[in-house]
Amino acid sequence: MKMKQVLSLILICGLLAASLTGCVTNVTGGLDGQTPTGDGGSAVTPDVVEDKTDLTEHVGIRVNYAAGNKSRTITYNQESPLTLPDGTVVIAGMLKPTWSYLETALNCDITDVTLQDQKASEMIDTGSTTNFADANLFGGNSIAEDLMYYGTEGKFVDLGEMMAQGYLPNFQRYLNENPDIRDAITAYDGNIYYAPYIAELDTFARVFNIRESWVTKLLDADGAAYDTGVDLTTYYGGFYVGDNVRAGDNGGTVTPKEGVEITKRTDQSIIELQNALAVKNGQTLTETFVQYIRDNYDYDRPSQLFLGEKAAYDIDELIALMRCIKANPGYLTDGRASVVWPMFTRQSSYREDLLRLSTYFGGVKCHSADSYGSRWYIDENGDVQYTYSTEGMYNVLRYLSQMEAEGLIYSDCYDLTNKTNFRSTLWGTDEGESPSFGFITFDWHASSTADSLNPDTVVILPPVAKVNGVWQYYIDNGRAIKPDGWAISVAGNRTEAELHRSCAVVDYFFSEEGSTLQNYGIPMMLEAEPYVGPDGISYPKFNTWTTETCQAVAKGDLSTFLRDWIGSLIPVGFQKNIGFEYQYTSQRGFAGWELLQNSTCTFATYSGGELAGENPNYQRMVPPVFSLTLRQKDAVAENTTMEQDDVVEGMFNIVRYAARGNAPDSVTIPADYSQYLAGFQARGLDSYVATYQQAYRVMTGRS
Amino acid sequence: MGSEIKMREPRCKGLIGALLKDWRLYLLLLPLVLWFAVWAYKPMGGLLIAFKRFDSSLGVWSSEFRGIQNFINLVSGVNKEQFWQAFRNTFIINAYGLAFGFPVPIILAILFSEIGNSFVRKFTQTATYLPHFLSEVTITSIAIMLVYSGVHSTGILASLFQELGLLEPGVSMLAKPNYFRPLYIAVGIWKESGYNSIVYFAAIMGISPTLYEAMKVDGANKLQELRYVTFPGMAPTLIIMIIMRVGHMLSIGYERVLLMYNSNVYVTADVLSTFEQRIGILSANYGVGASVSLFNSLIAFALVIGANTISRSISDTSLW
Repeated sequence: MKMKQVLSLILICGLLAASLTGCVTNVTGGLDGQTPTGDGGSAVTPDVVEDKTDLTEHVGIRVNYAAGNKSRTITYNQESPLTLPDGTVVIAGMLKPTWSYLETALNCDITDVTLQDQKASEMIDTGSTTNFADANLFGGNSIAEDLMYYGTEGKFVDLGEMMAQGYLPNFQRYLNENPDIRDAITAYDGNIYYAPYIAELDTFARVFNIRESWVTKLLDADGAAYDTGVDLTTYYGGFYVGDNVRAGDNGGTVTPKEGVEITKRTDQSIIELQNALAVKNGQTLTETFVQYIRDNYDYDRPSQLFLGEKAAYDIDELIALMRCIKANPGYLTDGRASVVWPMFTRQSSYREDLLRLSTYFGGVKCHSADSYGSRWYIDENGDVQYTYSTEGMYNVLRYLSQMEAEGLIYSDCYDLTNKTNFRSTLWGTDEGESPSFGFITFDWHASSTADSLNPDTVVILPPVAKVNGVWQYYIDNGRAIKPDGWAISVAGNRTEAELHRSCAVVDYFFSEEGSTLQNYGIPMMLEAEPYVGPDGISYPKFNTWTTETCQAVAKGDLSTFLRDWIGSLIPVGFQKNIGFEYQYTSQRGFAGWELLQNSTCTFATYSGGELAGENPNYQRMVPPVFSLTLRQKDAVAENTTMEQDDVVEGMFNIVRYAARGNAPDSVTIPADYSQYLAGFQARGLDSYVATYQQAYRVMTGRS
Repeated sequence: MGSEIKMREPRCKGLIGALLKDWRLYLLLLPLVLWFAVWAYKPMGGLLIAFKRFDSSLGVWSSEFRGIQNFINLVSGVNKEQFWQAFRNTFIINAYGLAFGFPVPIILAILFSEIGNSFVRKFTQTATYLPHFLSEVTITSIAIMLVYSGVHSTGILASLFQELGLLEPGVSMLAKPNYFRPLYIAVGIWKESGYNSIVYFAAIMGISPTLYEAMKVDGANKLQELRYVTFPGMAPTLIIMIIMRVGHMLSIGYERVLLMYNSNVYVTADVLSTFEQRIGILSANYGVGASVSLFNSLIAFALVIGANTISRSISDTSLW
C-alpha cells in the first residue's frame, strides 16, 4: 500500500510538472530607468562631429536577427562543418565567420539570441511584449515600418541623436552623402530609428531577358519550315490601333541610343495584320510579322527590332512576337516540345512582375519601388497616389487577360500554391528528359543570364513606349532601399558601454572595412589583387577557396554561400556593393549591362532623375516604407482592407477569366472600370490614400 | 472471515471532511485542475483584448479601453463582408462535416464489428487509424499532390477528374472555390474517420450479445438487428458525440484550411479561425481578431447549451 501511495505521488508530481511546462515569467515591464535616447526633432547634424567610438572595453552584445529561416541568421546552422582557409572549423551553433570576425574587429562578444526559424514580424511582436529588452540589436527582413513605429514609441534609440553625440560617424557620413536615403528612413517625428539594407542605388534592377536564338531563328531565317499545326485563337486587339496608331508624332521615330534614330515608316498595326489572317498558325503569323518588319523598318535583319542597341519594338510588336513563338513550338525546340510559353515570371510569388508591363501600355504606373507592396506613384503635385485602382491599370489587366487567353503567359505563374522556380524549369531544362521551354521574363539580369541556367539568354532593351507623355525607353524599376534593417533597443542596452558598442556595430558596416566584410565576407576569402569591374572600378576579388567551396557546398550560388555559410550579405544595415554581382555575371550579362548603360533607357530612382514628360515626379521612387502615426495605423487597420492579399488575387482573376469569360460562379469579375473602382472603394480606398498622402507629406516636410 | 470491517469515521464534517476522506482522489485530480487553471482559465484574461486597442508593448491591462468598438468594426465596419463570409463558411463546412463526416465513423464501426476474423479486423482497424497519427501537414500535402493540376504536373485524382470531364486541363482544383469544401471534407474523412470509429466500436462492443441472440431467435435480419439493437445501444454515445459536434460548429481545424486555401478560394474556404489569424496576426489588428474569437466562443457556448437542452428534453441523455 505504501509503495502504491509513493508511486501515485511521483506520478502526480510528474503530471503537475508536465501540465505547467512552458510557464515562464512574463517580463512586460522592461527595465527601469531606460528612456528613449532621442527626444524628438531631427537630430541628424549636417557635419560629422568628433568620433567618440571607443573600443577599449570588452562588451557583450546580444543580437536578435530573424529571417524566418535558420540558414539566414548569424549563427551557422549547416549540418556539415565549414573549414576556413586558415584551418578554422565552423560547426553548427557557432557564429558565422563574418560575425566572429566582427567580434574581433569591435572587441565584443556577440550572442545570437534569435529563435532561429522565427519570422521577423513574429520576432517584433514577441519583442514588443518585453520592450525589446532581450537583445541590444533587433533586425530582420520587411520590418522597417515596425522599427520606425516602435522607435516613435520610444523603444528604439534615435540614431540621429547618437550621431549628434559623436557616435555612428560612418553611418552619418553615408546619410550626408545620400540625403534621399535619409529622407526615406526618417520617421514622422523627424528621427531615424533604424539602419536599412540598401541595394546598390541608381542602377538598373529588373530587365527584360529572352532566349536570343528563338528571335533570330524565327525572324532571320529565310524559307524556314515554320509550324503549321497550331491555329492560334486571338483575343488581343492591339494597343497601338485606332486613334493611338503608332506613326509620325506618335512614336514614329524613336531613339534607343544617342545618335541612333529608328523610324517606323507606316501606320500599320502588326496586331491587326495578324488578327486579320484567316489561318493563324506558326507559318502565317511569322511570315506576316517578318514582312511587317521589312515594310516598316530599315534593319539589316528583322531580329534587330528586338535584339541589340537598335531595338525599337513596342508592346504590340512584342505580343506579335510572342504569338509567333507560341505557334512554333516544334520549329523552335527542334521537335522536343509541343507547347512553349512565351512569357513567365520566376515564381508565382513574383507574379506582380507581370503587372509591370503596364509601363508599356502608355506609361501606366504600377510599382514605383522595387517591392510589390509598393503600390504608389508620386503625382505632379508631389502627393502619392495609389496605382492598382487606376483606369490604366484596369485596362492593363484586360490586356494581360487577352494575352493569357492566347496562351502567351505561363498560367502557373498566377497560382500561389505552385512553389516551382519557373525560370529554372522553363530555361534550365532544355537538355533534360522532360524539357519545358519559356521565352521572356522580367527579372534580375545577372542571375537570368547565368551560364549555368541557359547559355542562350540575353538582355534586351525594354519596349519603347509613350511614358509620361513622351516616347522613350524606360524601366519603372531600380535598385532600392529595402524594408529590411536593424535597430538598437533602448531597454536592451542596459549600460552606456553596451549602447555605444551597439552603435559601433551598426556603424561598422558603413565603414570601408565593414562594408567589405558584409559584402564579400572575411578577408581570407579574398585575393590580394582587386577585381576590376566593367565600369573600371576596383572591387575586392573572391579567391579560389571561395569559388571552389561555394561550388562544392552551394552549387556555385555565391549569394547563398555568403549568406548561409559565411554570414555576410545579411540584410542588416549596409549598402550592397555591385562588385559582388559583377563577379558572378556572365559575358552575356556584361553585354546586357553595356547595352542598357549605352542606351537612352532610364529607370526609377529616389532622386527622380530628369525623365522627360508631364509629371516631374514620374521617375521618382517612393520610400520603401511609410512612417505612420498610431492614429494613422488605426485608420488603415479599421477603415480599410487594402493591404489584404485578396486584392491582388482579384486582379489576377481578371487576368485569368475576363477575356474568355470562364470565371467560376463564385468569382466576380468587374464588368467595367466603374465596378473595378467600386471594389477598391468598398475596401476603403479613399481613407487609405488620404492616410498615406498625409504620412508622405510629413516625411517630405510638407506638412 | 467472520470479523466485521470497521470503517474509520472522518474526524471533520463537510467539505474538509470530504477532502480528507478522499484525499488520494483529490490529489490525483489536482494536476488536471491546475492544468485547466493555468492553460484554460488564466488565458481568458486575454479576451480583454477584444475590448482594447491592444498594444503589445503596453500589455493587456494598460492598453487603451475601447468598449465594443472592435465588435462594431467587425460586424458593420470595413471587414464585415469578410467576417460574415467566414461565419457562413464555418457553418457550411461544419454542416457538410456533420452530414458527410459524422456518419462515416459510425458505419466503419458497424462494419468492423461485423468482421469475424480478428486478424483481419485488427489489421483493417489499424490501417484506418494510421492517417490520424500522421501530421496535418503530411496528410494535406499528400492530398494537395493528388489534386494538383498545373501546366506541367497533374496529380492522380486531378487526372481522373480531367478524364471524366469534370475538370479543365491545367486548372488547379485548389484555385477553384467550388472544389474547396468537398476536398476539405474528404481529407478530414480520410484522416479521422478510422480513429473516430473507436468510440462507436466500443459502444457496439458494450451491447450485450444476448440481445443479438434474441433477435436471431426472433428471425430478425441484419438490418433489423442494426435498427432495433445496435442503434439503440449506441444512442447515448451518438447523442453525446452530436452535442459535442454541435458545440464545435463554429470551430474548424484551421491548420488544414491554412494549408489548403489561398486567397482565390476565400469565398468558400475562409473560416472564422483563418479570418481571425489574418486580421489579428498578419494585419496586427489584435483587437478585432480577439473579438472574432470571443464572438466565436459565445456562439459555440450557446450552441452547446441549446443542443444539450434539446437532447435532455427528447431523450434521457445529456452532458449535464
